Amino acid sequence: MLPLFLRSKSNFLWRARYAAFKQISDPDQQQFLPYWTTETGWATELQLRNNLAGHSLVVTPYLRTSEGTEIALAAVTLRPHEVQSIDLDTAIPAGEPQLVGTYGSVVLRYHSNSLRNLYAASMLRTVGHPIAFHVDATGEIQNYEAASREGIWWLPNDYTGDYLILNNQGVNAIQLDLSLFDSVGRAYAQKVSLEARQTTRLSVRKLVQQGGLTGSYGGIKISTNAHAGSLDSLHFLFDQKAGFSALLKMFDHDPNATIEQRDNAKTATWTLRAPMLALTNPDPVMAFPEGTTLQPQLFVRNTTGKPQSASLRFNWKGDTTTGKSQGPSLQLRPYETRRVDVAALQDGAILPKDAHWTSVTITTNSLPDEVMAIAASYDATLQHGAQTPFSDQLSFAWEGGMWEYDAHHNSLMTVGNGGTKPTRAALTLFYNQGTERYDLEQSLQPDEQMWIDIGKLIREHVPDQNGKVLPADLSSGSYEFRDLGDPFGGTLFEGKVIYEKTYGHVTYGCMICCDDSAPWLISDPLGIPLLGSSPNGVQTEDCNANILDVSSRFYGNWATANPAIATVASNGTHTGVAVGSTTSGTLGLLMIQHGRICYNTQEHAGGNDNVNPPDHLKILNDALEAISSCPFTVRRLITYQEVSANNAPVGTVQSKEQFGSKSANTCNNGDLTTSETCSADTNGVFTDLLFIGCNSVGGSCGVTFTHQQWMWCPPNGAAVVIATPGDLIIHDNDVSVGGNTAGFATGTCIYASGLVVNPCI
Amino acid sequence: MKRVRSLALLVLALTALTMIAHSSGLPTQNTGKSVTFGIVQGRVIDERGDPLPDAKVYAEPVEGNGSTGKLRFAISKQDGGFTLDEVATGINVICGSKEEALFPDTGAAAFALNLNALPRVRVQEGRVTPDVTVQLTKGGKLTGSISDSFNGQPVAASRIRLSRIDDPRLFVATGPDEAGHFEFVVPSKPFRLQVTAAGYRSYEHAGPLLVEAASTKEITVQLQRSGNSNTN
Repeated sequence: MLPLFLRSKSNFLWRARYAAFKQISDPDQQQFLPYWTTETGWATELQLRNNLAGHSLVVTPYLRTSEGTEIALAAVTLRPHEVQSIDLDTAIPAGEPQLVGTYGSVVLRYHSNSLRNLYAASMLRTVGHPIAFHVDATGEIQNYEAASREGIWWLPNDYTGDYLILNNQGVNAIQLDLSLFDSVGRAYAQKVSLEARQTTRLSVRKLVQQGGLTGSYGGIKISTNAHAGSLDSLHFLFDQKAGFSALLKMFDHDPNATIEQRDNAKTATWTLRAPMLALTNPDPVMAFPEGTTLQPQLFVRNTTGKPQSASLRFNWKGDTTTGKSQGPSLQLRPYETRRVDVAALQDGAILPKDAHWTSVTITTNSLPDEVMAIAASYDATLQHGAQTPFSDQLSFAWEGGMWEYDAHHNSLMTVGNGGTKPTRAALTLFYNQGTERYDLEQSLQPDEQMWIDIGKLIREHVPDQNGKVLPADLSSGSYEFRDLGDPFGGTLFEGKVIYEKTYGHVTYGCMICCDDSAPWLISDPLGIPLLGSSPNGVQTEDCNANILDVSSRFYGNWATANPAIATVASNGTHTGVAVGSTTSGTLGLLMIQHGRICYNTQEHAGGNDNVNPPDHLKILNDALEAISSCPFTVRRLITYQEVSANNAPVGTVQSKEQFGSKSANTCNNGDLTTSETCSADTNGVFTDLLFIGCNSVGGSCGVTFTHQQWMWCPPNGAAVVIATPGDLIIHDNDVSVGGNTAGFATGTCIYASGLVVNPCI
Repeated sequence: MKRVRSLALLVLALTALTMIAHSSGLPTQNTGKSVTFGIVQGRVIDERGDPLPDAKVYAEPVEGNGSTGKLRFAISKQDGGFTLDEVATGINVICGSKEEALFPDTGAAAFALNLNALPRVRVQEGRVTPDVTVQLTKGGKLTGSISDSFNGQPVAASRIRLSRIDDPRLFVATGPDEAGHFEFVVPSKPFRLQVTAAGYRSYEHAGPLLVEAASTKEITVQLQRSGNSNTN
């Protein structure tokens, strides 16, 4: 691993280059929401959050009709960390009647370096009813072909309506096999064709009836052999009369996924967590009517044709107490869906009767997504209740959308440690258009959770770690979690609910992991001195546009294409063997987004290497300034870079200076320090400080050192002159270098012959 | 690439590696035979008194002992601690900066918030001068570009002079980078900005330039060609 100081320096160099690069190369990004509707009784709101810490983001939403025709809405400018919502009823342009009373999907387009610089979600609501769904935007996955979407259907009574939305994000038609299973795994299958950009809306109830399936729950499998990365699906239930709604999360099943890819906690076990299952005795903060009793339940499904086993464990929370307990073990037959009555487990032995919440952890012997689950917790009328989605995802960085707090709403969040070691979690609330922040931290043992009641923080003026309190009239903002214990991998899981007090309705929202971008080498091309060495490392960019040094993750995998030109050590230190060019690279694991999830993926970072001896000096900067130790004396700072004959950086080399003669110091204030023995210049850069010291004699005074020359000190052999700046006249009020007192322009080259030219030859 | 002080500091930090390399057995720099040295140890803190890691620290001699050699730095550690070896004996001002976090270089008189507040220490030959506190105060970023008003091309061969309004003798003069960009990390004090270049009329920013702490101010300088050349 590179020393910290070197990494930070190189980082700075890179940032300068990268900033210019980004201006012309930020790619077009697209995220998709599978469903919007303006049908009678329904409303759709888009929520957009800029994850970038230092830049605004301009996002243009496009509404697609169900057939795939696109109509642009007005672009939205999001300031750093700002979250905005867009009500489609008011945002749809006049003169677009085809968008009224219909449905389709949404494309969000923006220029940015990373897809995850934008967090986007939609809220689907029915007007005048306590029905709302939170739907997250996703990106299209390239090179993801044969795979399936897996779900669970649930029809809690004979009146519940449902939609199964199938959306093709891409430009290729997708041929689907849609299969529904009853609880014991009996299947009903049919073919569905999704044209480019098309959205299709189906009813599971009708499909169940068509297939002759029985029971109130079972499985859904939507599989394809091509373009699976363009497929999104959404399944939700609603009953306006009862005031019931539920979103039944679907999972991506990649048959090629491995446990290692998805195993941040290093348990070698496929693990799913639901962070906030509301128990029979609901938390008073949710403001359900007094006496409301919930019926928490789980549906656990085997998505494969082979038996699977699963084990449950709980981490519960009451008013003042918390605890852990082991739940039942399940043996799941092929394609079986099993209902687990959690209410029945609140018998005091497994879960306390008065506990309000529990997280649920399911561990299995399966591969990723071969077992999936959903959780639901509703009262007998289905009007009051809450959901919490299962996910395997652990991360070091989570970006959240909007939280709300007012007379009718409140937000409750949690973050837990899904790892096997203690860690420290940090919550930041952003508000006032993202310009203000509120920070809390908490140490978390494995399985332990941090709970945040936004309303309580505001009402009770709870100070953050810096003593700051939230404004009393604050009503919304965005948020993020960070794992301070592991800034690269991380083991945090998260959950959030927003409850609406008028109807007693609770909606959950998910965050997105703040993934890494494709990595790059810190120095590319890397200049390597002949018979000398140069370090290199690896960087990436997170969704906030922070540049991260991830060299340690790429340790031990370095290689050069031509060891006769250059070799490389495990830590990325390159050694020049012979003059010439080659390439080098390394492999390492990064948290990369794949559609709806992030997981550790082996990434490659590579670049070019040039082995050259230093030939001359290039000026990077030349400054003249008054100095603090004696403010009316000046110093001149000339920063040089050692470059090859073709002006390429040569990497870290040793150098020294020499002079023809040295005059007496007419300031009479001592001798000057010089650099007349060889010393290392990291990355081939050094600054020559020209300064006579403080003048106590009055009038202009100083020294003349003639014929300054800079010399490269090769590892073997005599020093070689590479630049002759010439005579130095260093006075208290001015400094001349080879007759130049005005200062050299950046980019000027000085050669061994004394030639001074700009641009370089 | 951004300019001037940033690049200088950036490069200076690299130079600091030279110094750090000494302790790991690499050759040390040669010095004039009459110059003697001591060691300075201390801590870098911010305006709140919190330790400031990764700051660059160096010594400026007050009693003679100028230099024609490589500029050398120490980098503060996680607890803000630093050790400067081979500091010329006599009185020295201990300076510091962390420009990436908007702490200006106090070694440049124009960028020191209060010259009288900079730590001055007496260094004795072969002795350690301990417990020196270098306090840095966050400033802001003055950034911009210099271009030809006629064709919009960068004027890389220009000179920028920033001088303090409260004492014009305190100045920094340097050039932009090859793309005509410049960047200074400055204290929250009013400055005068002038730009000169051969073949162009001199430019002076209208009124004092004040960059609030923790903020960025961007200046676009369009130089007008002198004579009639801009009408061709």
